This record gives sequence, structure tokens and C-alpha cells, in this order.
Amino acid sequence: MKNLPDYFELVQLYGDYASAVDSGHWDLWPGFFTDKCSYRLQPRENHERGVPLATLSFESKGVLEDRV
Amino acid sequence: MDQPSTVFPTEPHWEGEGTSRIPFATYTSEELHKKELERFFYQGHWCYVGLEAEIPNPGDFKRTVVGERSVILVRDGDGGINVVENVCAHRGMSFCRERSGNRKDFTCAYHQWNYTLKGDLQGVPFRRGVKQDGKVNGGMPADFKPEQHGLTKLKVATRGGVVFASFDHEVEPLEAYLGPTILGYFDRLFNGRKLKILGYNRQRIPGNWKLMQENIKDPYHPGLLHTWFVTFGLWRADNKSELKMDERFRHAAMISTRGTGGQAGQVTQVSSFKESMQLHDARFLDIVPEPWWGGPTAVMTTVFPSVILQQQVNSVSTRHIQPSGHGHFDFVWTHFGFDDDTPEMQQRRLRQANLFGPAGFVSADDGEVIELSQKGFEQKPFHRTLAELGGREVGDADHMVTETLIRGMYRYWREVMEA
Repeated sequence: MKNLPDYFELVQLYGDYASAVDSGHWDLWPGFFTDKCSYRLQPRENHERGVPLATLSFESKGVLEDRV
Repeated sequence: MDQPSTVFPTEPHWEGEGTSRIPFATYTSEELHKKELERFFYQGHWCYVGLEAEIPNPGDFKRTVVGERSVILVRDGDGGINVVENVCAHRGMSFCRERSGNRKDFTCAYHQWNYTLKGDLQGVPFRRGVKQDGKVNGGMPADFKPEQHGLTKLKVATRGGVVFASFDHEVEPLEAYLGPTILGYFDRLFNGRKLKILGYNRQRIPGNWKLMQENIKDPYHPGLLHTWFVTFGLWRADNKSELKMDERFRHAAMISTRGTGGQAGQVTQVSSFKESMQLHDARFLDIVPEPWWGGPTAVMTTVFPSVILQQQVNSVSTRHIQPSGHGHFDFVWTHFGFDDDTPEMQQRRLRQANLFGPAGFVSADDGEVIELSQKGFEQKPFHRTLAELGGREVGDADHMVTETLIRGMYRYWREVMEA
């Protein structure tokens, strides 16, 4: 383990993210993303067939806020 | 004590000749469902099976359904499009398991019976028996004729890149089936340009399949259930709109033009409809009118019984209704664009696809209301719905404040079902 503090921060980030999403307080959710971000939830079928459609496809933190 | 059940009637009870009060029992009976499959999906009707762009090359196939019967849409070596039933002529096995792919021929895994891409039987292992110790054992009878044992072939019609199929070879031509009015809206969307597949969304909805047709024949709900539409002017009760049907009232088009405040150009005034709600990222509503729209910003077409053709601003898709018993259906969305789309237009279509569908912006999804309607029907099948907005008659309309299209569909339903 080269950089233990970073590793712990990462685990903490995942933990905080899961806890925020599980809590149902959706206004917390966009806060985990940078302004420029990409959030995609793509059906396996589309991925495997090489077609771009994603059931959720958000291109910025602004869109995440709009979705909430 | 042989009193008939008053809660669970054996037949739907219609109040008189009208169709504004639809018995719950229309949605709750397995027996009635089978009669619907026979009369609407397997006889006298064209069912949607896919888009030509899904099978561009010889040997490309896609497994899909007509009603509840598994079929394969396949392009043969001559470039022709065939639809064959996915049931082996030998022991009835549903032999094709892949959802899509490319094949030179079809082989059933069970006994290796082999078919051409047109569905003709071309190979039967041990047909002439097996030679052992100078004696021929077994084999098919001498009068066995492979040409009599192909796969069931469906009649196929294509128009504008869309493929329909029918088990009924006597079915009227597709154009007559759609009728001139609906054909006009069909051709508006599928005007000969090559299509480009953008991808699929699949939903299993625990409700009767007819509810999905009704949902897209119901312009009453979008502005009330999908409040987001109203906020951004995509669908409002005061939008300029028309409702049109074919002469038998089975198909329909809901045509709507988003208010533009007199602006003919690009419509991006998203904040003007409701000041308090503004998008953080306006690209979601970066709507660019396209020449082929010819005015309307949304046309939702229901082609009875199997498909919905969606144009909502720049998002276009087919939505295939695939029944599975009286109480469920699969709802398969194929989003597409056009070959000549700019990269920006393709991106715009993909972005706007997020507005609709199972995870769309449109508040509660239609699948949820359909599930809850079905629950209501199942608990008191003696009761009936009340589709009387705009009167009890059936006819085209120049506004959205009516359930006339639902009444129209049930007028046709009662005619065909003799109910």
C-alpha cells in the first residue's frame, strides 16, 4: 500500500456516497460529483452491441441537480 | 346455494352499446386474453417486429415476438427480409436463444435439424438411416418431404425501414391496414431516410397490454401525471393539438405543437413557462426543430395492437408491446436516429431520450400507473372504468381534453371480440 491516507479517503468517499444514496436525501447526491462529470447507467445489451443509449446519461453536475 | 359470484364475473359486462365504461374484467381474464391473442395478434393484423437497420447485413437476425409467439426477424443471403417462427418443425423446440446475431443458417440444438434463413428445412441427421453391418437402420420414412416441414413463415411488410409481420397470409396490405390518416403520420417519421439504431430500453410492466395502448391514446394524463412536461411546455392542455384515428378507430395519432410564443426558430425559452423552475443544465431542452416535423413538435402514434411510434421533439423511438399473460407485458423501446444526423443531433436525441422511459424526467412512469390500475381491476373485476372525458362518443378532436381515442379502441375491440 503506497498511499494509505488516499486509500482511506477513497473508502470514506464510497462509504459517504452509499450512505447518502441509501438515506434518500437526494439533494446530497450531486455533491459527490465535480461540475464536469459523466454519470451513465447503460443496459448491458446496449454496451455489448456497441450502441450508445443509456437509460440514465447525465453530462454535468447541473444535470444531476436537475434530475434530483 | 348456486348464486353466481357478483365479484368475479365470468364475462365482462358492458353497459349498453357504448364504450365509455370499460369493464375491469376486460383486463383480468386469461381466457379472454387468449382470445385477444388469436383475434388481434395472430389473425387479420400486422404486428411490429423491428427495424431494418437492426439487421443490415445478410445473416443478421433478431429474436422478437408476435403476440406471445417467439419469432426471428432475419435477412437472408439475397438481402430479403424473413420472419419465421422460433419453433423447430421436429419436436417443437424454441431453438433460437440469442437475442440477436449473425448466422448462415439455423440449427436446432436438440437433433440438429437445419433450416435456411428463409425457413426451409435443409438438413435432417440420419434421414436415410445409419448403415451398420451391411444393414440400414432407421431413418425417416421414404415419403418424408423436407419441403413440407419448414419453419412457420410469416407474411412480411416493410415500409420506411420498419418491419411488420403477420401469421395471417390473407391479411390486408399494410397501407390499407394503417389507413390514409395514420399512414400519413407513419410516413412523416419514416420518410425513407436510413435509420440508425441508438439502443434499447426494456421494461416488464405488471399490467394488461391494452393499458399501454390506452396510455398513448390518453392525452388527459400527460399534463397531470407528468408535471415536468407542463413546466417546460412540452405537453400542455392548451397546446395546439389534434387527435386522429383510422376509420375503424383502432389506430390513433396524438398530434401536439408546443407553444412557441410566436417564435419560429430555435425553441429554448425553457425558463419562461414557470419562473421558479429553471434547469441547471439547459442542454436537456436544447430542442432543435427539424424540417420533417412539418409543424407538430410531438406526434404519438398507436398502431394497434403491437406498437407505439414516438416523436417527442428530437427523441424518436418505437415501443413494442409484448404481452405475457393477461397481467404482464414487456415494453421494449428502440431509440433511433437517422443516418444523416450530425453528431450534435445524435447527441441531442440521446440526451432527450432521458426525458422518457423507465427512468425518465416525466415524474411517475406510465408503467407504475399501469401496475396500479391492474391492481384495482384485479380486486373488483365486476366494476368498470369511466372514460367519459369529452363525452361518450367516438370521433376525431382538435383538442386534448377528451378520452375519445380510448373509446374508439374499445369500439373496435367489441366489434372484433364480438363482446
